[in-house]
Amino acid sequence: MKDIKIIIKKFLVFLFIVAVLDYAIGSGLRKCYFSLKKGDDFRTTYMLDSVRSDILVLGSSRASHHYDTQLISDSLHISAYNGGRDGCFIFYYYALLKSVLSRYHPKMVILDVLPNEFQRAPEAYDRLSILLPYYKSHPEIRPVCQLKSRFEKYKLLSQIYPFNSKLLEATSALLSKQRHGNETLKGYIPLHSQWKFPKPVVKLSDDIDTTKVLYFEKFVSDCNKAHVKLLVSVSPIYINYTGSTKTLDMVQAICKRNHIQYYNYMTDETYDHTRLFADAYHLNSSGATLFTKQFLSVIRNNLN
Amino acid sequence: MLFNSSQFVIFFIVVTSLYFLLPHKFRWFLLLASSCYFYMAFVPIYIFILGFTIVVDYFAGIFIGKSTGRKRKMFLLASLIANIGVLAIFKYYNFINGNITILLSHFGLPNHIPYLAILLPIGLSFHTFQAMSYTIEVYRGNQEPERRFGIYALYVMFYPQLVAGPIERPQNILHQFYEKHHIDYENFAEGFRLILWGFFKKLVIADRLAMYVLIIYRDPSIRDSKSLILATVYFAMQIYCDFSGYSDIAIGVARIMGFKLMTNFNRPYFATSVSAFWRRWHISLTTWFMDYLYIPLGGNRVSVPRWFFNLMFVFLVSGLWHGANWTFVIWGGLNGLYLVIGIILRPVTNRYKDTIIHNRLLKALWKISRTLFTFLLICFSWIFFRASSLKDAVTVIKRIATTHGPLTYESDNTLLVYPFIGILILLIIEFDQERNHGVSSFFHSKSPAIRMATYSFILIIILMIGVFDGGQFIYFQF
Repeated sequence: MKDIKIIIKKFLVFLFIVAVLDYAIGSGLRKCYFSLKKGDDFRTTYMLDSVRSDILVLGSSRASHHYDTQLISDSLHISAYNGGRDGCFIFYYYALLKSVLSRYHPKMVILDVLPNEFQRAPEAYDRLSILLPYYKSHPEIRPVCQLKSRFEKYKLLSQIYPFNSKLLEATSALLSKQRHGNETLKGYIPLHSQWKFPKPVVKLSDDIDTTKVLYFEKFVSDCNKAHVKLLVSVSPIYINYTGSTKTLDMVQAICKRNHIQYYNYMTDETYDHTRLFADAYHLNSSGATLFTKQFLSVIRNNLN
Repeated sequence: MLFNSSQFVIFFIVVTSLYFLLPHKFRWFLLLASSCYFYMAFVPIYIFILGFTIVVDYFAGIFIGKSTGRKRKMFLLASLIANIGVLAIFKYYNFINGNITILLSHFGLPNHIPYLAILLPIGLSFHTFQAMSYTIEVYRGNQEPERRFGIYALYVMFYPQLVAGPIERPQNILHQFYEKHHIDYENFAEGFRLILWGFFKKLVIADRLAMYVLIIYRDPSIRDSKSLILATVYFAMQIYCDFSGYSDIAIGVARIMGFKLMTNFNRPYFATSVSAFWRRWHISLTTWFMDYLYIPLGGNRVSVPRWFFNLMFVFLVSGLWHGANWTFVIWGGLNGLYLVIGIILRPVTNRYKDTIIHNRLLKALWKISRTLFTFLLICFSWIFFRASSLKDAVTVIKRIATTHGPLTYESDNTLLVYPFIGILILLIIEFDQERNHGVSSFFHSKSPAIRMATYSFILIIILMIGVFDGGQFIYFQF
């Protein structure tokens, strides 16, 4: 009995110290994080809190590196912003859309989907951690955050947890001289290297995650309900895909059913050159400029 | 169920609370039932394989205890065949079949033996070896046969060490299931320390390093020397922190309930020779091979060539134990070779050591250089362990030797900075433990304030830079 008392007493002291430290450090990290003026996290914050552009590009890294929103904006004399982010899947795009639609209705949303968008992948859920800093301030994205795990709301009792692995980015906001960043590219991130290897062969699995399909359908449906013109696109890729085409078949079928325009440039011969790619998955800046110019006519036609 | 999952935290709290609330006579049943649940959380159907070996070994133990002479040996053989048979089917069948296909193809012949579409049951090699140690010890007369089936099943299935060890001996653990454990502050504090430190190693270091290692080793043919060297050193730290982290959590979880499991790691990268490394690395497996293979083969009490053969053989088998792939066999063979060369060079190194024994500076430098050289040798062998094929391993070595290029890392530096923070903390704690014969001036300080500060610091670091969505523990696959 004596040992139980000591254990409880010491454990409570430990919890108290950790809670105080957690609150102090977590608050500091929050302050630093939301003072970021550049980088991926800033772009997410901007998309969730401030963006008011007429055209929005959403998707993974392929969206962020392939759609030159500056070029779109200059060519069409309309505001555009690229909200694509590395390693993200449909859940992230949907959370951004929900937040955007709660503030305003853009004229057009371009959604770049991956050839394996619906394939089962635990990292799609893991990557939702990038939305955790916004869990408290954005109730509309909470159901998406909770897809990560059913224990997420308990973990979020910690003030540090939402900023897990954000220490470097957050402190860089304090240390960086360039506090206001360079946002003249309107979210677009050009890649400047050149791919020098043969075309890889990747086999696609037919193991489909139905939750991802459901969220894609919700994405399409929310755009339709808000009368936002949605274009679904698969941008060029330097990979030979084999195996199941289930994901893109389903994307196409859902688009057709909902009268959404669907464009697939995966096998477009214009882009069958290593000089246009930074790596097998991503166009470099030359490739992105070429692709954006081609896609401009699609945007123009759909805006009219 | 993974230790690094929220489900496990709830499972552990519920099981431990019930363990102390229940009367002693029901506790074994609670542990057995919870161990079944823990194991079935992975692939439920494989509980039957585990059940099969438990039934076979339980009766083998009883019959070995009752019989004498040849019969005794027959029962032991039956148990060993059943255990090794399960391993052979689930772990090595497709590997052997694949090699037969390659061999036959050299003669233009087809192989009609079908492949099995089966998954390797989690931790099969661990619980099979633990089960074998029981029947061997009963046969040797070092352990009385366990009469209670439930207790024997618990010996194999005790959840903290079921899927990745430590591989226990019956003499150490079986009697503990009969002992009545009370809530004890010392056990609780030590168990909690081990769990926290284990999570630190797993979440802050291993899973963070895994990200970089995965990127580089996925396709080494497009990577340059600096990235490959860094990824190999990272892997050395990753596998240590992953596996020793698991062991620490396992030992800690058992310790809170009052069970004392054997130490599995003893700061192996501070070893000054490969043989010392193997006395510090995966101790429960090394001693298993020592007791049940190396010594029965004659150990070092044989002619020198036979001694070297014994070493090589044990390490090749150890390699194969880790995985059904030639990369593991070569990894084992390399370590065996290091030991053989170490023995051959021992007179030379001893002579040099004698000449510097009175010079403290030279002695320290000698120790540091030996530690670093041992680490390099071990890192070189890890290339084979980590590469997905022999071809990839050769590519890694070739490209380390022949290419120059920039270091591959993410633009935000997180793959370099966070691991550096984690490894620095690990080195400080372990260096301190090494100097104090395993006792940490931080965790075991006489000052409650320093202890509390250390615990809090480690937990805060886990919250700040731990990887919460990391994968399985590497050794689960074995």
